[in-house]
Amino acid sequence: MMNDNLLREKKRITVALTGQPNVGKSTVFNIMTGLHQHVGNWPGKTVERKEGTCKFNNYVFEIVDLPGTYSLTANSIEEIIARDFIIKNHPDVVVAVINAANLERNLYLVAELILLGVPVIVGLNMIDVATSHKMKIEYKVLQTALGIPVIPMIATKGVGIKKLLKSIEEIYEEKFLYKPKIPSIREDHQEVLEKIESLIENETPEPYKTKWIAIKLLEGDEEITKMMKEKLDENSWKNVHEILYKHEDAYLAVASGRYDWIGRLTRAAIIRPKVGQVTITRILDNIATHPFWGFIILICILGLIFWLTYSIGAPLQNILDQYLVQGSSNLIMEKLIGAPNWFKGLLIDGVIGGTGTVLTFIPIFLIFFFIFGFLEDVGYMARAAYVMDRFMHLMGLHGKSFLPLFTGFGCNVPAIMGSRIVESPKARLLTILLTPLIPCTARMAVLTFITPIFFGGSAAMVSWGLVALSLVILVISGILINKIFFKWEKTAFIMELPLYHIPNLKTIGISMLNKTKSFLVRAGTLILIVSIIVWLFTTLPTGEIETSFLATFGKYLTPVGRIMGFDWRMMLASLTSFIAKENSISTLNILYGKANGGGGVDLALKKAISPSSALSFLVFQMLFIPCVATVATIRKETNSWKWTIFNIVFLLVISTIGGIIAYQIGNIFLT
Amino acid sequence: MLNEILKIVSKKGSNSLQDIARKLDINKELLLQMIEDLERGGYLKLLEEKCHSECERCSYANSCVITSYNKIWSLTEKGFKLAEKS
Repeated sequence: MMNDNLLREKKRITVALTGQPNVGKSTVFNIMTGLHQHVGNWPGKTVERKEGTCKFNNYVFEIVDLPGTYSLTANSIEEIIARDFIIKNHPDVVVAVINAANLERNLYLVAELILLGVPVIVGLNMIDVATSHKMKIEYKVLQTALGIPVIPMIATKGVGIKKLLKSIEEIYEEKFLYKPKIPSIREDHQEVLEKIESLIENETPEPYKTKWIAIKLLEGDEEITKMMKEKLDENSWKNVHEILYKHEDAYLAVASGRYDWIGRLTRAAIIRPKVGQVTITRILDNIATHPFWGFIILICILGLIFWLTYSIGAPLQNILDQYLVQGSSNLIMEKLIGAPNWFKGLLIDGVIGGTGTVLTFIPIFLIFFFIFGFLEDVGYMARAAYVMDRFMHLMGLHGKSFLPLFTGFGCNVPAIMGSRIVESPKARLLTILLTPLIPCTARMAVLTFITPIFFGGSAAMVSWGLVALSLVILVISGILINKIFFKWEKTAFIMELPLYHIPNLKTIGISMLNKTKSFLVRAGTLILIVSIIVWLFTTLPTGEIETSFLATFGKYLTPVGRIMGFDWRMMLASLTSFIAKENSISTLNILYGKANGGGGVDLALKKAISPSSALSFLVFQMLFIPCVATVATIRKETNSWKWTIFNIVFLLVISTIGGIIAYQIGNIFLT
Repeated sequence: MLNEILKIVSKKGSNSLQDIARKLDINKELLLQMIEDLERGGYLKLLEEKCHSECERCSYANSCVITSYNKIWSLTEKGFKLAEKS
């Protein structure tokens, strides 16, 4: 009884608690109200309404916990509830709980709140989090700059709650000089705002304020626009609408004013660490994203990738070849001594010679994927894309296309599908047509297999040169196709570059193993099947390779291959690469390995193929028609046989020309 | 400040978030918020971030070199127009 009487005697103040989601507003509410809470719904809405009371000195604060909102535009029910409550119920004080660690974003809500005409107190919560981010917030400076009370808090530990309650009391008793510095609309729209204000001045419905309504109209707020349209007579609305229509970008002027205001506040009140990740990133990016040095670095890193792959991967591949391929072949010969010859042939030449050889690439793939994973985890990949984007702009290529094209280094299929992000149909088509010129991992595998055999110590240089060649041809083709078929379109982007960070070996390891696993699955299925088919056709009908079906067919192709220095085997290897790029390796192995009586393929290849033929073969492989999956995707994504066939013919022509030139140049320099 | 962003972006072609933030002397968080605003107004468009869902059909999807894209926004026609105007 005693308590009830006391409650009745104390003065009741309504306090609205606002804030963005996840700023600790509920914690503040719970601490303030304790057990004196009441939970219901907002009238006619499914949004929870929490209310509670809290005694402080001579007052009872009736606290209403408004729904968490990012702003007060009528974008959601929560935002409408929050702003309607403040405007229509006019609480005595509004407490804006904001996250100190994310001050910029949270201040936007404050910018809108102080416009509503109710005294606002900022509860600067989570200052411990801000401190742990090495941010220093001068809250006194912030308070002066805002002209409203700012109370630093750590709600989870109950720090600052008492000060907050005291501040509510002070505001209510007008002991605090409350002079909010309200953000103004950008200067060039000041006049427009005033014009609208004068037009609606006498028509603003209670309890709204004219200025607020005028701003909301300029912002294009649907609810307020509808309300004013109904309220104003036809003629007045026509005048207002005319101004709004003429200044449809006025929203930006309103928001800009708020952002300028936030920018000023944060520059004055936040001291950010000058060392650490952000600074390191800035220093590194001065070089890594520089238009010239960034490109040089990209080329060097690409070179380094090949060098590491060869100097570590190639010897390991040789060991695997010796033990896995030769070793298992010998074992089968021993164990299956009584088995029929065709069966031994199938196992040794077909399965082991074909798929087994492809499997020896595992170390090369592991290293390749590790380096890429490493670069991505460190944060370099985004820079590489950024540098390429600039470069493509310079070359008159469509800038937006670099994303899918870059994916092409992994596989051309997702790259072509990814071209859907390019909106302009012409630019999209061009992206698709150019994608096959990006060497995918499978083409890289062919490179890594063949270059060490023929070019020994210079293998990395040759590979690097071949990749560079592909890219140069891509750029030239892009410019030509662009000039001949399309008009150049203007584009502009903003790209987020992540902070550089110390790589997590576990993440890289997992991604590396996943990628290798998918390669193994492929080797066990598609490549195995093609290997067996190739072997079958090299065995049938006579059992001799020189008189086999495949040889007969292959010899028809000899005249075409001769100008590029190819024999029929190399021609066939190129053809099987249409199924999957690695097949060219397995086919070469079957054809040359068999001719050599199995085993020692490296030597057999070196004996049978001249370096200039090998170079021509590599150039041809790099520029040749992509695998069947890619072609099917091109057809599907372009939805045109005409462009698909154009692409195939185009690639056939440039790969043949490339092959011929490489062979001729090779003949001059390599022999 | 919002028009300023559009002007910078349209002038240079490719921009990094960090570059723009430095030019405007604001931090990345605030810039991101402004970009979202411009996105809502149809001046910027966020490009698809991840590999297309049809990647699943690609036998190499798992070995795709690039697994995580960073956010990229492109200036829309509306954005270009406003940048020229201001």
